[in-house]
Amino acid sequence: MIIKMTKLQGILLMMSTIAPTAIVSVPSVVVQLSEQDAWVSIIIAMVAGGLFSLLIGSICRQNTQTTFLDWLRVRLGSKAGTAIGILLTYYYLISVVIEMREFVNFIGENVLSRTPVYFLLIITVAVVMYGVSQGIVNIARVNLIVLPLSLLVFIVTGILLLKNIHIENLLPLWEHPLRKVAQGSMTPTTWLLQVSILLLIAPFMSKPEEAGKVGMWGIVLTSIELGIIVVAAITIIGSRLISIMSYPTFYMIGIIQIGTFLERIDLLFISIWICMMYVKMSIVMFATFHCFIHTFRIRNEKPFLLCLGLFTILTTMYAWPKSVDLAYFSKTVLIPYAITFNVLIPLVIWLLLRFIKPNPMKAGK
Amino acid sequence: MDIFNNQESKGQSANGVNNNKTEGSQSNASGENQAQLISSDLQSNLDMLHTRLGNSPDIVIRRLGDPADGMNRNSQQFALVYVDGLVNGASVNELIAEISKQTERDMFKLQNGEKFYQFLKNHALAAGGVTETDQEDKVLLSIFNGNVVVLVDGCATSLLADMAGGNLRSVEEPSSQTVIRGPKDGFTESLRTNTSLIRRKIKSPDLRIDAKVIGTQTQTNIAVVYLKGVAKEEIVQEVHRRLDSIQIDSVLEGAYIEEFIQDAKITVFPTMINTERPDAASAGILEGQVVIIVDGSPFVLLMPVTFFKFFQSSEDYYQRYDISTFLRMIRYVSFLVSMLLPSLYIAITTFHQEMLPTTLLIGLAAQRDGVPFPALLEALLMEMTFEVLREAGVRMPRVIGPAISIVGALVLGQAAVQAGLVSGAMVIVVSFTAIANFVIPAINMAIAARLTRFLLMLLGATLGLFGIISGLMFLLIHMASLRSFGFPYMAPIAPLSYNSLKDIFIRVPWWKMNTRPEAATDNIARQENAGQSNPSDHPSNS
Amino acid sequence: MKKITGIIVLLLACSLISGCWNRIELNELSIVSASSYDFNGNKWVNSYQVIIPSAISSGTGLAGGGGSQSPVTVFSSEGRTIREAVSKSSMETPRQMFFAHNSALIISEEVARHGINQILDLHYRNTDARETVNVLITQGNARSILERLIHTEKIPGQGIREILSNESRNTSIVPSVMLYELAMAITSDGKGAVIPEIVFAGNEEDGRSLDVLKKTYEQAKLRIGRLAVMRGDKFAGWLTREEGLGVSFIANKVRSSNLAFRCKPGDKTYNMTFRLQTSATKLKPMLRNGKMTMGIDIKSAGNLLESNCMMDLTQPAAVKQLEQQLQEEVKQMVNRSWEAAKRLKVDVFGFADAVHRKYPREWRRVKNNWDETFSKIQIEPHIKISMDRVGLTNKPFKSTNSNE
Repeated sequence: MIIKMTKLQGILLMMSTIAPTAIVSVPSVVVQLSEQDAWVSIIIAMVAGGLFSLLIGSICRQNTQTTFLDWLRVRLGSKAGTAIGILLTYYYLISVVIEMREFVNFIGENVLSRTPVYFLLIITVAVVMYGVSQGIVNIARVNLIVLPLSLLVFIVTGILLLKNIHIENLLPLWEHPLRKVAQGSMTPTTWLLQVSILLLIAPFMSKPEEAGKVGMWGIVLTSIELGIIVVAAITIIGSRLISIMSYPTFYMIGIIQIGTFLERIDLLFISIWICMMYVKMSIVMFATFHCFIHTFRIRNEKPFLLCLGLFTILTTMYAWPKSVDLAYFSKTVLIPYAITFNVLIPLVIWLLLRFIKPNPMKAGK
Repeated sequence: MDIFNNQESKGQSANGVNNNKTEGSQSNASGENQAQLISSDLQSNLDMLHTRLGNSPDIVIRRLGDPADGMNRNSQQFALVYVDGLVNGASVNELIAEISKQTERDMFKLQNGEKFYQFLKNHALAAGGVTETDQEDKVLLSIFNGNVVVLVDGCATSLLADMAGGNLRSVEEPSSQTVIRGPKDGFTESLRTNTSLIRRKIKSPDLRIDAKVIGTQTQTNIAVVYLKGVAKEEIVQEVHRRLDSIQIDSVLEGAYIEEFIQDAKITVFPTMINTERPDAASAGILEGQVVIIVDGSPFVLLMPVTFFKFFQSSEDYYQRYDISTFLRMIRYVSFLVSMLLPSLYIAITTFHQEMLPTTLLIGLAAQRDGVPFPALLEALLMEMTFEVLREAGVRMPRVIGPAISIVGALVLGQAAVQAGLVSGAMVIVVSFTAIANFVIPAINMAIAARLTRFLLMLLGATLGLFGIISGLMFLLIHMASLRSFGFPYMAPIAPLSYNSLKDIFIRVPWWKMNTRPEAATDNIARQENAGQSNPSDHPSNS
Repeated sequence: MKKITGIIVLLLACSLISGCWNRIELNELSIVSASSYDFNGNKWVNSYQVIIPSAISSGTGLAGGGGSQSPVTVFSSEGRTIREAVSKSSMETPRQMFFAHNSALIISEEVARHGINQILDLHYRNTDARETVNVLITQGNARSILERLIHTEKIPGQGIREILSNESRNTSIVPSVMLYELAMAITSDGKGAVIPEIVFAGNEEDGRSLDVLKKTYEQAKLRIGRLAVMRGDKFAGWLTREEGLGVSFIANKVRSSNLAFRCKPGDKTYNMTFRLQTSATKLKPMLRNGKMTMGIDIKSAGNLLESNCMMDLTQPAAVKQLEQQLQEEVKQMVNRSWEAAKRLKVDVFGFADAVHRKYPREWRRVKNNWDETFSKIQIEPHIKISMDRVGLTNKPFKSTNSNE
């Protein structure tokens, strides 16, 4: 029996797609621009993301049976469908390569500083490829175990940090002009726009029409999570110190100290975060693989897993020789790039769908 | 009682090629004509038996009736064939006595074999389950199943009287899964006894028992037991289909079958539970599972199962729900400990020393000062020692067994520490892991924990916590993709189903368990007044 | 199949070969329990107090720790930058330096005058140095602090941390400052921070050898001294202990403390002690006619510990009088601290943050010469102390004398 994802799995999948990379750097990125009004930036991002997910939902509602690319080909014609497929494959491949590189950089800096990067990368890619080979529904199930666990860890660390919170750090409110706050919300919005992956995942859900709601809920819950982290960071560390740190979230966990026996438990938190990152990378890698297979209509997929894995390893290692190159890339090129693929393409698709009537002959296929 | 279905037509006994057929032909769907038939001549039948079976002294052929002499050709001859040891001796003697008495009286009336045969079948045979057959293979099979074969001179059919008996182990306490409070009967090696034990617990007319025979040389009887209306039809049919496709020459235990019919071929995690307790099997049947009983082994198989079922023991339901919940939590924690503790210890002490409290770190560092081996080697050494001790404890005769295990574990460990070969903390870690392994109720799951422990140890020693987490993710993805007869292995956590969560990490009291877990059944209403039977409403309490 | 076996064998071999990149066995670690920074001229001098585990606890569990070896060893290294000094230390020690259990960081006054920015950057940039290490300052050579042994704690570094946490919890005269708190204070709006001082009281040569532990009393001991004040990352001056308590009050860092006070306002002798159990301070900046005043509301509660004053404590009026007396004492303390801080021109109380939060526009104006504006502020302390309990006796023991 072909089992499909439930709505809850879909929502948690959305959260897992956006949250892991976000929670690491959201405080430093947002606070740099909007300081203690950072939570307002998050709210702005949430609204923008929510509107966007409605758009995505309306596209998904029209596709009820087959996979996204096959359906596009049927609706918009073979050429348009293939072109979009190639673009999407390209985008998701670059996405996953960026994330892998950031992930491996982080592990290499914080946890295992002397292990050669390629070894970490091989292990990561092996696990991710295994996850992809089992299918997205399987990844959603693993997510159902990992995400609640991570939320539990969050709550526990939050409780342990209660005595370090200085609420006054959030004052004064509204000190910064709206322009700056909006600027601060650019990066979170970019992250939230990754909900466009729902286009590919919706056919695997048992009720694809509800994809819009799934996207909305996913964005709302993720924004709440990010908002809480940002507020915690500001109240515990203070807005000025955050701007020099690269990973403020883990720093916060490192401060926790109970008696003399519980110290430096940030490693525990990092472990859960690694699990979340694995899930996220599996999802995006699955998107890449899926687009690739369906664009070129490949029947026998298994060998391509191996070569996609190899290709990923090599690209990740050699695309950015130094970590500063990646940081520069993230700051400058990534945002317009992400917006193009996450926003423009679905917009284009939506417009095309409105103006090209479904061909009754082809729809029967 | 008929233990195999005379109407099934697939010709199972001819599954492998049986080379012993003298006029070798394969039986096909219409069966009766081409199989080797017995002849109507008694002597040729008996000669056939001698040829096929050899001259074993335990095969008894008792001829009755006056021997043919030149003059009185009217004496009816017949013979009873059985295997001494497989039949209930007293019943057989009574049978013979009864037949003799009956036929003695009316013998002059019965002139030909057919009539005599009918007389025997309808009046004289003092036995319960009586069938007839004219195929040679079936005759031989039935002899070995404890039947008494009655061959009548002049009739080409034979009567089979079920007199199964002999020395079998009586019903006693199960040796492997004991409880403090609860039924103490256990399955035995006889299929009939086992089915009767289940029937005693489930007196519903919906209980179905389907019989099969698997194994070309052993011709083992298998029974598939389920509750009609509760068990899913697709699963029952799937079980039948998979059993029918087994090609093997011997089935001595359920494990032989298990490896054929399980879903995933390469996995350490078991997808079927085996149990020696009739109450556990009955509980499974009542929840919609299908039970396979194999003649000759007291362990029965239950399917489909989820991962969490391996942590439920019968005793959870016989004690109160609060202690059961607590013990269940302990079981899950022990599983994690048994899988992760050595690797975590290695990873933290060699990669992430900042996580340890300072005083602990100093103590551990002081212990390691004299030890020559790196932590991984030390751990592997101790683990191997424990596995050896464990295996030796299994083979030890009962008398010396406990002494050796205590000596081995404590003294060996202590001596190793004092000799400076391993550090004390490592001994504690390894022994605690080994003990935690025994807490898991199902041994096949405990074995899975043991095997994955080694993999995780290697990963932890190479890459620290990152390696352990990667290994765990790998296992998690693997477990989430496993299926047990089509049902997801990690249900009801993934996919989430609130109804079935009641019995997983906690055990809700019986008055709240209104639904069956959704793994095996669609018929989930268990009790009639769902939620209304609240003990505080009891008249005696007000 | 052969290839897969080959790969697996390779991976196995990788993990069993010792020296697997990041892996380091426990007996290859040099656990640093306290470190110090000195500055001689233009070179950094780092000193480390390293634990010797086998001297503290014996691994096989036989008769207690070795009594013949000192539990710690101290050594120094020099370099032009801090990390260069650390790497030079590997020329002396057979093991790898491990800073994650560093309990105390001692800087000398000279280093503080030079500026501690570099030290803070070090801790934030590297993962192995903790941010929860206690920071202390000392007036002379910082290394000499590391060399002293303490009677009650085997490891002096941890002992120093315990002394500090004990003190800040029970007497709150000097707050226990962790590195991240120091960094937060330096980067706050007021840019003022405090660091407790650690002092070695006694002869130069005392306290360095195990003979110290063989006596029943400590001839010379480590103790907490005054409070050092930092303006930004540079040293600004010293505050005495009384002024320190006042600073703690205003900055809301008092957790519990003992206050000695007099019976009546005119008395000379202090013969009562009050134990403060809880205390909370609120800063209320007020802007009137362009003049900034800071209202300081202190609310505390506690019990009476000791009394040698002839007063009947069952009378509410008497208790009220004692409360007022206490309030007076605290007020004077607060005023004295304020004068001291004004003298040093450092905002150690966090006034700047309070002003920023309440009057953001005003703050933007005075942000750049806060030090001057700060000294012109008037403080209005309002202190409310409530004596919840008076102990088990209601009259002082002295009152029984008059009966005989």
